[in-house]
Amino acid sequence: MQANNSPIYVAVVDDDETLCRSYARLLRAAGMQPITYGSAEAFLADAKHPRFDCLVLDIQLTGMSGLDLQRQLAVAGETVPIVFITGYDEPQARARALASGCAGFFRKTDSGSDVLEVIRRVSALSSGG
Amino acid sequence: MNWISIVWPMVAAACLTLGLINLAIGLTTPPRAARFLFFLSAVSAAAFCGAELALMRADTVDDIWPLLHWANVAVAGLVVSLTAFIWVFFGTGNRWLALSVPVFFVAALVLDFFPGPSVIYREITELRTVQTFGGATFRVISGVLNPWNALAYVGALLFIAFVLDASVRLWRRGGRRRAAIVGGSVIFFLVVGSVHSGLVEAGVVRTPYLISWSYLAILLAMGYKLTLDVFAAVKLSEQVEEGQRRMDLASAAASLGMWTWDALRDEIWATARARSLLGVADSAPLNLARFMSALHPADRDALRQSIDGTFDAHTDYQGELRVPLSEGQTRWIAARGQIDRDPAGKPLLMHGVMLDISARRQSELELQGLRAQITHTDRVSMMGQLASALAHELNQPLGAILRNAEAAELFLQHESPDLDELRAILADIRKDDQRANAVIDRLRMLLKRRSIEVRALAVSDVLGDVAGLMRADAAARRVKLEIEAVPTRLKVMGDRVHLVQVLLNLVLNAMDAVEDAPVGQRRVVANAVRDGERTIEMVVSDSGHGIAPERLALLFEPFFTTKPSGLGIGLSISRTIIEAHGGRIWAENNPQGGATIRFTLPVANEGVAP
Repeated sequence: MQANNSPIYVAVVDDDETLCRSYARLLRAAGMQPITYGSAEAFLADAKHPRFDCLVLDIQLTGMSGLDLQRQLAVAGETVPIVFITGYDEPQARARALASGCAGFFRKTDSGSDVLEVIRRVSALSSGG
Repeated sequence: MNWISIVWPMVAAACLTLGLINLAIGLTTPPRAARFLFFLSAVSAAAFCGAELALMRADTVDDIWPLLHWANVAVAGLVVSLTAFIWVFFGTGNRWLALSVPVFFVAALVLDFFPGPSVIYREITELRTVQTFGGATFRVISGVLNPWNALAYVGALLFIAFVLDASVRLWRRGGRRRAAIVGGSVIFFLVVGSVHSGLVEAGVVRTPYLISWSYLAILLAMGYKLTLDVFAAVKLSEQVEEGQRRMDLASAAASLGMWTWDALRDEIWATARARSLLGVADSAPLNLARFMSALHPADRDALRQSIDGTFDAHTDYQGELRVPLSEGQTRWIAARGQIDRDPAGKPLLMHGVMLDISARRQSELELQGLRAQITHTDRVSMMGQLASALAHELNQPLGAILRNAEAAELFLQHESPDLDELRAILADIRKDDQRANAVIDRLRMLLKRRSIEVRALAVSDVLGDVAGLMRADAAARRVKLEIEAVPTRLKVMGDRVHLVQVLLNLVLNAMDAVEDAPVGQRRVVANAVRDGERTIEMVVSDSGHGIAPERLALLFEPFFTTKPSGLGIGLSISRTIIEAHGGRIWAENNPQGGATIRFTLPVANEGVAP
């Protein structure tokens, strides 16, 4: 399935602890290497993390939001693919996220296999390219 | 036929008749002692009348002596009873004068017998026959006067002084009619009787004694007084009847039922209206047990207790009672009662009125229902405002459950599934399911229509509900919502749902108030603090612009709103709820900016640490 033997590193940023944990499990069950963060600030503060193939960001975060984080990374020249997940399905947020050029936008209750598929696709592209 | 032997017995009969009438009245009606004493004086006067007649008809000097004894006994009886009568009837007489009058007459009476032969004459020289008009004849005594006879005349003078003094005092005290009629007639009797007797005994005038005749003046006066009393009684009974008629009219016009309960005999008298209110037949005898059986079973014990309480506490009874009617309907009755007690304070009678207040109760119930409906509408509309935040609150656990389930499916496809991981997944799923349930329970609690039920309630539970419902919305609106931790032993008397509703209203308003502030400065704090022994103060404050001073007082009025979308009922409903809890609610501006709403709740007695 994988393009090469190196593992796919995925960061999960969500302020809901059990949601973070469940995402990490799903990614691990699919053979990926997840690292979870409780906030955008915690993610930015982690200097030792590996090069991520994909970021899974909750839009609604305490403190800096997922969209803020995406903007900050873009400013810093980071081009890592981003998948947004949200508890609110607000058309406005969806439009802004899609306009910012994210890899995917999912509700928290959307199917996990769809999310996995997007992550696999974008990480194959990034590692292959 | 000698007319003298007809007229004197008539005088005696008149004395006896009026004396007996007074005795008969005195047996049932006060002043009893006065009427009895008057009766004694009238009997004495009649006896003296007999002595007068016998003296006029005496044939020999030997016949005279016993008749004079008789006459003196009668005079003494008359004077003593009449003195006592004035003493009792006027109540104003001088004690020493009153006591001295009998002393002189009794002394004269004693001397009449010892040594005798009479206190009036030492010897009788002649018994003459006098002819008067109509050919009637009578005897007149001539004799040597006994100087001790003066005792009786001194006594008569003292008696006159006593009655005069008592009458003047009574007159001054306002008893003018009694003083003039009774006092005047007694003085007339004493003056005429004693002066005339003196002249007869001195041999100046040759007539029989006329003491019984002068007593007629008193009889006339007392008869006149009695007639006035009868007229007054008739008038009084007319007034009572008129008062009764007016009372009947008034009670009929006001649809009042009237009742009297004889507590000793356990008999209830009730008007037809009272009986129809209770649904009791007109003819059936009524007692407390029958009265009770007409009431709603739940009201019977309460009535018994309040009757006992009324008996003990010396207050009036006041209560509302239900009478079950056919087809499940209820008649509400307001009853009031007063208690008549004997001088020792023991309840004898309870009497009062009852009124049908079903219509009033009905409209009260309707108003209550309407209020509950508005309150419920307010809760539902708040839930609408929170809907998207609550959807998020639900989506978190639901999403986690889904991710966990999907992960488990993938793990199960591995050659050797990690069972510990699978167990952890199941534990997480269970926890998230409970989390989702808690959100749904809160929603259901708030969406259900219910009335206020006050019970002891931990403040921390109420604040916990508010935190659970508001957290997501606060996060979405980037408001820092701080719900302070309070000790679980802090308890109030309150209804959980309605108090949560009040706090939700206040927190939602506070979040609206900080909407315009920069993200880092949007702050809403909810807290609870003890305010003295009996009160807990709940506080919701914000970091907004505060409230214009002229609006502070209007804030809790219905339909007062500053928001374009607001109905303006949230705060007025909050006030209604808090006041129903026995608390009050008010708003103030913070010195450092923003506004604070405070409300008070009564502390629950149980479980409060000292």
